[in-house]
Formats: sequence, structure tokens, C-alpha cells
Amino acid sequence: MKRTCVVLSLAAAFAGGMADAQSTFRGDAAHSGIYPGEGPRQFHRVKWKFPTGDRIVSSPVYANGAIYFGGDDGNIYAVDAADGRQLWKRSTGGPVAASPAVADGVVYAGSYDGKFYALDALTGAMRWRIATGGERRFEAKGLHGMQPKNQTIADPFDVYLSSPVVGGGSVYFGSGDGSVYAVDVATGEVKWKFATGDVVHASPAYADGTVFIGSWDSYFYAIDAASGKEKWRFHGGEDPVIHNQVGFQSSPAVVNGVVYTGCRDSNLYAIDAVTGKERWRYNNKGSWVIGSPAVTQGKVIFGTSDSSLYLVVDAVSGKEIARQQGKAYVFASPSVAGNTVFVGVLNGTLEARDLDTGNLLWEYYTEASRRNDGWVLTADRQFNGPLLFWSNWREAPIVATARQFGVGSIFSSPLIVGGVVYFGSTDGNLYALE
Amino acid sequence: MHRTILALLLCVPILACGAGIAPEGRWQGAVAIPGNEVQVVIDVARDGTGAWTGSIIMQGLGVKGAPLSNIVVNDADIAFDIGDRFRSPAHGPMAFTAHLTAADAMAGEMRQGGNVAKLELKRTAPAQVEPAPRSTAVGRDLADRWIGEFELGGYPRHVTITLENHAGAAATARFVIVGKQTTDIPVDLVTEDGSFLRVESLANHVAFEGRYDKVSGELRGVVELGFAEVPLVLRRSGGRPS
Repeated sequence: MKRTCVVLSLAAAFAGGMADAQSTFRGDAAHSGIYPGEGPRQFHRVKWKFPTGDRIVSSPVYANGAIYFGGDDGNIYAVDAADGRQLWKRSTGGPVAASPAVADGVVYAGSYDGKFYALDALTGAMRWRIATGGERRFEAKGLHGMQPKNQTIADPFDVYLSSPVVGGGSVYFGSGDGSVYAVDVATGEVKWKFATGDVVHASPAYADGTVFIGSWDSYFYAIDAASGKEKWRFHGGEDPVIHNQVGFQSSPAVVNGVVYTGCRDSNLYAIDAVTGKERWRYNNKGSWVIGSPAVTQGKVIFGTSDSSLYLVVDAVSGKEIARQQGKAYVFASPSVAGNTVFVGVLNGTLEARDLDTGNLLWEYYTEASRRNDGWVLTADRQFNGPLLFWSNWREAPIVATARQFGVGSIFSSPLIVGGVVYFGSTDGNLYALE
Repeated sequence: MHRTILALLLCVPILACGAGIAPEGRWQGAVAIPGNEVQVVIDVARDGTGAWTGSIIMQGLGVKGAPLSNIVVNDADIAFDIGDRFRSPAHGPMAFTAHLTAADAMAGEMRQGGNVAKLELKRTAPAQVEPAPRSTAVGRDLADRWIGEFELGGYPRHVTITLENHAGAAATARFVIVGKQTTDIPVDLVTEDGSFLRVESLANHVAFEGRYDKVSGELRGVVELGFAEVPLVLRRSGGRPS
């Protein structure tokens, strides 16, 4: 009965063409990372958890009573936000390692099968589907110093696909084929394709008729949303030796005419959205900035990988406001609801932090991280590097990375709706905490 | 009589596990790390001076014949660690403790990274301890202060390696890398093997390995930084010797 009510409410809402503010990656088209309402300042309980067949890297989105997300088991899911029951699932031919976007009753999502899907949000029925040039991971010889040096190695840390954004009658997304796509939402016709020099797994932000997105070719692009013409490009760092410090994996936030984006070159950049000129950069001394920064109240909030920092810097000057030492890498993007910031950590911890101070309010450990199979984590929940990365030969680092991500890591950026925090975990569960 | 029998019964385990039985030998068994049981072979013996020595094989973890450190044998108890291999910065070395539960059986624990796992071992053969690698003296040409530079991650790192011989003993080295910060790397091993020089920090997974080129007076080789291996040419800081 309850399910019927949800379906009916979905139908009513979509009939009116209404879209919720939380219906796209990072909450809105500009990727501010801000969610309406308050998030829980204290942890009370697991409201529900929804098991899938493989890890969840995708960040959930919300529209009209339903949570939508992708699974590495190849499915796109719609789940009742109230009780965690499955409304529908749609199988694709590969992992769906990106957030869907929901607009006007349609769910848009890409898959590792190299196809991009438009599904009816109510039923999961196919509206249209297009094939891109095919997916692939970022790859390089000698990547991160792995051996054999003469063999091209796919990057095990390239975990995300590009999450789409909808604006101006088009849906925009990046692809492993190196292109940024603009596709007509109604027909599925490709309006334009913008070629970059390498894999595009960052997610585009859309603001003021412009699509903002970075590529693994080391450039960040502003593209005219209507024509697909380049407005400007910004050059990040290069690393020709081991390709470790290169590429935009981070997705941008565009707020008040400034683009904020992380980069694998270990900088967080603030770039003028009109001119493409650098306003400032915050260097993280070799640590990647993979997540999309959240921007609110003149503050830019982001996390780092190896240094495992939670950082808050001034949006205008880039000066550090707050820093907290975390325990493990942060790839997920921080999400803000009210005065609370929620951050997923790769050691399988969901952290709730105070917006002003960055102080930890509460934390939740995913099931797999509590088991800690293979001692991936030390007793104090840091990555147990010596026991994981003891060899650089052949597949050892790739196996180590897979093991590292097996502790219920949270790559998924939290979604906050009605005081409930939703996120996916590599233990295969979508969690709803309140 | 009852009392005597009881006393005898009590003596049995004491005799079985007591001072008469030493932990010498090859011990095989498993460490019960959750989700990843590791098979181990541990060799323990006394060296020529009577001191305890040993080595370990950990299958699936890339360890073959790593030397045991800080071996302490106390009656039926043995404790040791494996030095810098799998050393956790916060929790110290991977450490083992075990107790002889029978003539040919030991049980105990292995600790690493603050985690603890059960260890069960059976004595299967005489000990086959692998000799530990030792530092050597280096050629007179090499005992000097060497400098060089490499680039990684888009910015340069300056390297200084200072090699020093000691009369009748092995060489030592100071290994400093200056990038965005200065790192004075503790060196465990300095070896000259044929024409190859190797300066290594096991704990930090950092090493320099190179060959001395008499014509150019340079040390040409690679610096190994964890996964990364980057070419590095070192020159004497004071120029070529006359």
C-alpha cells in the first residue's frame, strides 16, 4: 500500500514536470554540494540499508520520494526513500559508477558498457539509449611507478564515471572516449560532442549557459552549452614520468562566478568562470583532490587523498580557515545540510562534521569496515599500507587497491533529504542514516 | 598416593613445555588474519655464538627468508619481530609471540598495525635459517658525498647520499631527499655487489641503486620510491677527485 502511495506520488510529481533540488550529483547543476534542510547532528540509527550485488560508487540522488543510484552490479536502481524498498531496477551491461540525474520524470545515467541511458523515473522503462565511443579507464605506462614499466596499466583509482547534468534541454556528460557529450533530453540525439585529449570521468557542472568540466588530458574546459564551442581552457599540472600528478578527476563547483575544482596535481583551483584565469590555488603537497568541493557561506570545503585532510578555505582568497586530520583517503565529495557537513571516507567511515569548525560530530562505520578482512585497516582505522602495498610488480598494486576498497569504502557523496543521510558503500549497501 | 598422582599429572605439562624443550627448528602453520589466513614458515636456531637467530617465510605476502629481530626465548616462550618489513608507523613492527604447547607445537599471536591474530605452528623439520643481508664496505672511489636531482610529480627533488667506510666494518650512508620538504631517510643497508652500489631504507621503501662510471666519475642508476623508479645520476659534491 505504502509502495503504491510512493508510486502515485511519483506519478503526480512527474506529471507536473517538477524536479527536486537533490535530483542531480552534488545537489544542483552548479554542484554546490548544498542540500536543503538540516542533517542529523547526532547519529540515532540506521534507518534502512539496501543491499545490491556489488560495490556502490555512485552517489545517490533524490526525486519525489525515490532514491536513484547506480550499482557496480550493472543496475540502475530506484528505491523508496522512506523504507528502502526497491521500486525498480534496470540492468545495463557494466558497472554504473556514477550518479544518475533526474529531471522531468526521466532518469539519465551512464554505464561502463559505453552506453548512456534515459529511463522513465516512475517505472525504469527505457526512453532512449545511445552508444558513446566506449568506456575505458585512464591508463599509462609506468602509472604510479607500477611495473612492468613498458606495459600500459589501467588506473585502479579511476573509479568513477561521469555523472550527467541536465540544463537547457540537454543532458551533458563526459566519457572514457575522451569526449564531452550534449544530448537532447527528448530525443536522445547527440547535439554536439567536444573532444578532449584523454578520459573524461569528471562530472560537468552547468551554469550560465556554460558546461564546465575537466579531463585527464590535464586541461579544464569551459564549453558553450548551446554550441559546444570552447570558451576557454585551463592547464593543470603534468607528470610525464609516472602520471600520478596529472588530470582532473574532480568535478567542479561553480558559485558566484568562480569555478572550484580539485586536481590530481594536488591543487584545488579557483578559476574565473568567465575568463578562465586562475584566482588562486591551494596546494596539497602531492595529495590528490578527487572529490568535488562544497561551497557555502564563502567557504570551500574539500578532502584530500594521501594526507587525509578535511580542509576549509576562504572562497575569495584561498586562505585556510580550518583543517582536521582524518584517518584515511577522501575521494567522496563533502555534502552540506544546514550547519553540518557529511563526508565519506575510504576506510568505510561516514563522518558528520560541524560546518564552522570542522570538528567531528559523529561517525558511522560500514559493516565491511568493521569486519576489516585482511587487516586492510590498522586498529585505529588508518589504511594498513605496509600490509597492502608491499609489491609494485605486475598486478600486486591493483590487487592491493581492490582489497583496500573492500572495507566498505565510501566513494559515494552523501545525499541529505529530510534529515536522513544516504550514501553507497563498496560493501554493496546503500545506507540511510538518521 | 592421590596427592602423588596429582603432582605427577601436574608435572606432565610442565615437562612437556618446560626448559628442556627449545624452540629450535622449522615451524609451519598459519596466522588467522580475518579473511586472509597467511601460511608461515618460521626457522629458529642458535648461531655460532649461541645467540638466537631466525628467518620467516610468509606466503602470499612476498616474504621469503626475512630475518627475525629481537628474538627472546624464555623457557617455553618465544617472541620476535620482523624488523621493518610491514612495520606500521604508529604501531611498530610486525611482532610474534608464541608458547610451546607440546613438544612440537606452538600457539600464540601475531600483531601488526594494532591488530592481533591467532598463530598456530607445528615443528616439521630442522631449522633452515636464511642468512640476513648485511652491509658491506664500499670501494674507496665511492666513499664520498654525492648529489643529484630527479623530477617526480612535476617538481624536482634534490638527493644527497654520503657514503662512509669504517675500519674493519661495513659502510654507512646518509640519504637525504629535499623536495617540498626535507627527508632524512634512515638507511638499513649499504652494499656494493660487483659494480653495483645499493643504499636502502627498508622501512621507507626507498633505495638508490647504481653503478660507478669511472670515465665520467658519476654514479648512474635509479632511485626507488615505493612504486616509483626514476633515473638518477649522482655526482661528487666537491667535483671529481684529483
